Amino acid sequence: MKYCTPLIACAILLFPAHLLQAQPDPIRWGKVTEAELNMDSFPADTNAAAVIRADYGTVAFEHDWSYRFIRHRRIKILSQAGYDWGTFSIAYYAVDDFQRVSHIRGQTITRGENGKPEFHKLERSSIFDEDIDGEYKRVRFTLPALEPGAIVEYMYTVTTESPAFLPRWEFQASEPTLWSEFRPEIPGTLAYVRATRGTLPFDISEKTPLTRPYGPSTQYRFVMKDVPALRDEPYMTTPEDYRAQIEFQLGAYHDGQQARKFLPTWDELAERLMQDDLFGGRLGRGKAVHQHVQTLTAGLDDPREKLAAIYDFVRTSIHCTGEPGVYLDHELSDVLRSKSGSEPEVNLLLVSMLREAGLNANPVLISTRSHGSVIDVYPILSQFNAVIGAVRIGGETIFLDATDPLRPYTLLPTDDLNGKGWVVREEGAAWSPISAAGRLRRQSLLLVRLDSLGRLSGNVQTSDFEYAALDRRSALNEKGDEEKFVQDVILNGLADIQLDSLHIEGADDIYAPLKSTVTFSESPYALAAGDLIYLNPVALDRMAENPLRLPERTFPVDFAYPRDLTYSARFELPAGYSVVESPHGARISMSSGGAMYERSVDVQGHAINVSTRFVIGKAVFTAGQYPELRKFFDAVVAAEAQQVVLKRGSGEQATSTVQ
Amino acid sequence: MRPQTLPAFLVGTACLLLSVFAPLSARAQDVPEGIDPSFRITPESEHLRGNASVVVRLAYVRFEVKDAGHATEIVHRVATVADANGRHYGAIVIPYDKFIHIKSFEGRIRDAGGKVVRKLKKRDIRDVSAISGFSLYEDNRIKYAELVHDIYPYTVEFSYELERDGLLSWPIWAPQEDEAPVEHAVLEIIAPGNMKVRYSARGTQAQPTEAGSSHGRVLRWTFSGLPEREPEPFGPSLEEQAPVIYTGPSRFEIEGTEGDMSTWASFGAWYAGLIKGRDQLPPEAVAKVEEVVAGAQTDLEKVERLYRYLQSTTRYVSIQLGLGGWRPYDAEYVYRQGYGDCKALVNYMAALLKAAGVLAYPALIDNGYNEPDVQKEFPTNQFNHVVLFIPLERDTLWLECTSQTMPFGRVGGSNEDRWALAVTPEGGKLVRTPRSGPRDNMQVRRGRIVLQPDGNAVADVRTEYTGNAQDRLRIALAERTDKDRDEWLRSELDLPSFELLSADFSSVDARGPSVSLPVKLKLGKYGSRTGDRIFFRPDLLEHWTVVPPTDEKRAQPVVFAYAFAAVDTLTYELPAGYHVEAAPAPVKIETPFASYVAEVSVGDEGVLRYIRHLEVSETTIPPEQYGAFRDLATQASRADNAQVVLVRDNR
Repeated sequence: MKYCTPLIACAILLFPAHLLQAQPDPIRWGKVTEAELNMDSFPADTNAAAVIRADYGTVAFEHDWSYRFIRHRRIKILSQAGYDWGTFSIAYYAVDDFQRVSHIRGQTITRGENGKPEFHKLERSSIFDEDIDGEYKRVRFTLPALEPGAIVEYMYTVTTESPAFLPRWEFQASEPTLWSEFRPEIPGTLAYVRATRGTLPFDISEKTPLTRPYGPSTQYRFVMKDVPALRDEPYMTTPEDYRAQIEFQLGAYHDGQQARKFLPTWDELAERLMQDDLFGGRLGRGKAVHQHVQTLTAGLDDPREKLAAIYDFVRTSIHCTGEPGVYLDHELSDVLRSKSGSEPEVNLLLVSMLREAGLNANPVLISTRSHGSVIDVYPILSQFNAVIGAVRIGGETIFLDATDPLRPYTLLPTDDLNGKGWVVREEGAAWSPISAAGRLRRQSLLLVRLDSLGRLSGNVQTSDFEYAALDRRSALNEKGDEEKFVQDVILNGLADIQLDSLHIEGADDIYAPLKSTVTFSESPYALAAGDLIYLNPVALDRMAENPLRLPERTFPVDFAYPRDLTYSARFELPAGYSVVESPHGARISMSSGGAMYERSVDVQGHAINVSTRFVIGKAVFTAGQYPELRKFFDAVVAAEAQQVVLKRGSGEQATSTVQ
Repeated sequence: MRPQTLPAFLVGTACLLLSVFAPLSARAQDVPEGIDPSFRITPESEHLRGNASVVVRLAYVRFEVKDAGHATEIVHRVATVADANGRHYGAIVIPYDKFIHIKSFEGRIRDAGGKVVRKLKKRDIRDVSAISGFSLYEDNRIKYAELVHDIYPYTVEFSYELERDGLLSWPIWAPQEDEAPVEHAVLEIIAPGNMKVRYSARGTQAQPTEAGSSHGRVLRWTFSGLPEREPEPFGPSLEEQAPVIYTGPSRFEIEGTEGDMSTWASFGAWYAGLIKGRDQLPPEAVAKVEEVVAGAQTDLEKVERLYRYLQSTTRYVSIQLGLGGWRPYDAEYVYRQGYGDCKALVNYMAALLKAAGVLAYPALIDNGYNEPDVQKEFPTNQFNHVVLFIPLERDTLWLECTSQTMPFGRVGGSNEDRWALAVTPEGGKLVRTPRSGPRDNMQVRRGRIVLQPDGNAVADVRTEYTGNAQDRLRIALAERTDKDRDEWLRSELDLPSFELLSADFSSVDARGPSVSLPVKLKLGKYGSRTGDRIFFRPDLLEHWTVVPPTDEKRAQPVVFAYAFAAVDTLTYELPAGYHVEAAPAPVKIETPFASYVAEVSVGDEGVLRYIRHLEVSETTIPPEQYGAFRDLATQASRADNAQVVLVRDNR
């Protein structure tokens, strides 16, 4: 982690800040009302296990632009499910005392036998300081004497040596918050830019000019009242995108003589990053990179061939440790030597080698889906948590992420697909939309003979493309055994298959589709009863359950990439049988578009031909579209449950009846 | 207590890190006699590897005991990696704490010919805190490093030396830690000539050779040519089946305490010494106990009331520091703070009972489903948890003190049917925890489903859970919010499509012997219509899904976490104007270890009854019965998928 500390030397004594505050504090230590103590439920949100009565943070600067952040939090615990709120930890950057945690106080307030408050203090011996990795530390404590109805409160101070940014203040938690207030006091010599997230408005947003020994200052006050809980929902990118919060980043400062810019423009930031040895400073340079590229691209002229050769080298030769981040911990020559690197190291090495090969390649900063979206107004680097690559060939930009040995350069991992990325160049850095360059696409073909016992003999052929191929290659790799893979993955839905042979094509060539051909015989499938056989014609990948189980949701559903699955089957009927009843063709779609299912059923003499197609045409569905999307899945589940009825010797004409 | 998922010899212990990267002593690089120290790939090593991605070339541990409290341990691990799937063998983790000093740590990669191509550098080594997820604080840390290469095959070699100050455990050593084949595995225990060395083994008959040396007596276990092992479906974990050598001292010293573990009695006496005097309660706590037990008629009633009091006033918080991994916080601390870990809560509960005149003893236990039982003939530390043992006049009670929701008197599925070391003032003794049978762990479901002509249905279902089945529900649902419960239930229901109309979770919080969960569901298109027919699956909620593959050479048993029975009795009201055209034939399978029955019967008045009864009575099914087990699974899975076909009456 990097910090810039503008140095300024002055020696003015600090005047106690609280004496000058314009507004009284919203809570006072240990002062609880009888109503607060007696409260045992929270009707506004019956799912609440705890209620944050007050969360109050202040920031006060010293003359040397270090600052103290003081936080006071009081939480009412409603049930045992809320006990987690009695444990707290504070992570801090401890190198050279950059941050220090002090003045920790904590207490639990319970209702005594006479209805009076009883106080249980957090003991010093119950506060632990953990050295996480030599750079970061974490203070951990848990409060005593918890019981349903107890109030816990704690207070601590974090002193930070640099004004580069202030602690991010979150107004919203996973339980309801009655009062959340952030009150930073900013010296007149410092100018911050601020970014807010979420959709909730401030109840109070005001500022008061003050005079301090160090000069004029402004006290800001941001208050939200009665903030609802923010809880996770399935198929949601991350709750952080929706959480009400405010961030401050130093934009400029006055050094006594003149104003100086601290926060760069996006262009300046790009320039700085491309000069930084821990990011772009050494891209396309270095002997080791040069030698490797020489060998890899010898005799290649086509830029795409060069791209493939270099990408495939990085993907297969450099082991990715999975450590995230945007900076290098090791030099690229070291990464090449050790054959191992973090995520940013792998991708920056890729960019470096592509540049060395003469391609127009650049690093791209992104925020992954699990990290949240980026606010592109402010060039705040901490918004990003990953770096990938981009290469421009013949007017087309291809985004690259070489951290998975099974992924072709044409595809990005799901977590990278978060809307956009910032392409970092020495000149002309720019935002670029990033969306999936592929779909989950599969074609399955089933050609079988049905016998009078309901058994199937014949073969299955499947072809998987793009994300479908990636998924199945990963599954094959995980199973480590072709037969297991075929039984568990390819033939899912066909429980009792007696395999005769199997053939898998394209397992090692990750740019080719993954194809499999399986033959089997006399495998029990349809239900035979007396003269009747009942046959479900959708024998592979049948959608047996609706994956959307919740009746409603508040956030969008995000599938990451489109899907397109087709299935065709031909069942030859046993001698003497004919079709008595059969589902007919069907087409299901969402009126708002985006999802479609169709099926055709065709009875031809002694065979039935069935084909289906399932398409999710876009990645994101709004919360408003959710009910219709859920109904769509219900209709598909119902359609795929429908069966064909066969009868022996009936001589009846095949009838296709209306449902 | 410190959970020990890693072999104990890696976990235990020591002092300040002076210089972690001191030059490797000649000894840490040592290889046992007769092994080529270049580890070049040989036809023999390739033959042993076969199709595996990795072959372990050497797994060597040399444990040299200085005295009852000090030892030096050298670990030398070498593996040849043949493809990318074996790369993870290049990762190494060395756990340490205040009892362990890492004296040296080296690694290198060799090519196929044995030539060193790269060495581990200091900057490749990370040192991080390793607090388990369930703990507030521990003083455990790890050092880890990873070495990989991109030209296969290559050989990755690690060696390190530990100094241990404080010895509660000696190596519990598995020559083959996972599935990879092992070329050579060697354990050496070196001890002063006058020191007693105890050892035992599980899953192997191997005996050590013994020799003298300048350092003392050398006991050496040697394994070679161990073939690749494969986990088999439904089988026990490889870890449980692996041969293990247990070693241990008689006398031991750790952090100023000393003990003797040559008998369970003496090992228990050491623990008794650790907790001695920690059961003092302040006067107000004693007064509270008197208030709680006032009017109780029997000791059993006293225990029950105090257990309820414990559950409602404490919570589980784990803090493991030094010997604090063994020595509990005292009873007064738990009384004031309202929390503690397993041993502190057990100690506190024993103190509460003592104040009420009931004798109770902590019992050390190895918690977990399907844990291999304690080596009864080999007293050593084989435990990771503490429960409370109460020998009442009529009956014996066991209490799990870390749960706020456990029904009174249950020891829990992860503690049942195993030896525990009860610690009495006279010392330790092994006592067996109770075993539950299938009828103790029941899931009984009754339901009525009204099926409509359009295929939609409404289901009224009530499920009753007891024993371990009840634990599963209670752990997932007790003291949770409505939203959590609703989400759990939705993920639990294995149905094509449904709306949850109502559910009553009230009995989950009652801490009674059983949990009852009534739900009402609207089932969209539960019956699938085609023309004049309606198809539906009479087995509504309980499906056997996994059919294990055929295996003529099955070598491992099939294991279940516990014996259980699940009984479903469902009544379907059929839509008017339809009758049953086809229904599954009854299925009945009886084996010595399990039985399965599924039966559909068509009654008058448009009613269909479905009964399903699955009972697993043995938790371990021997390999020779695998075929019978697979047959049961296949038939059950087929029967659970079977359909009823209704057809419209002739008009």
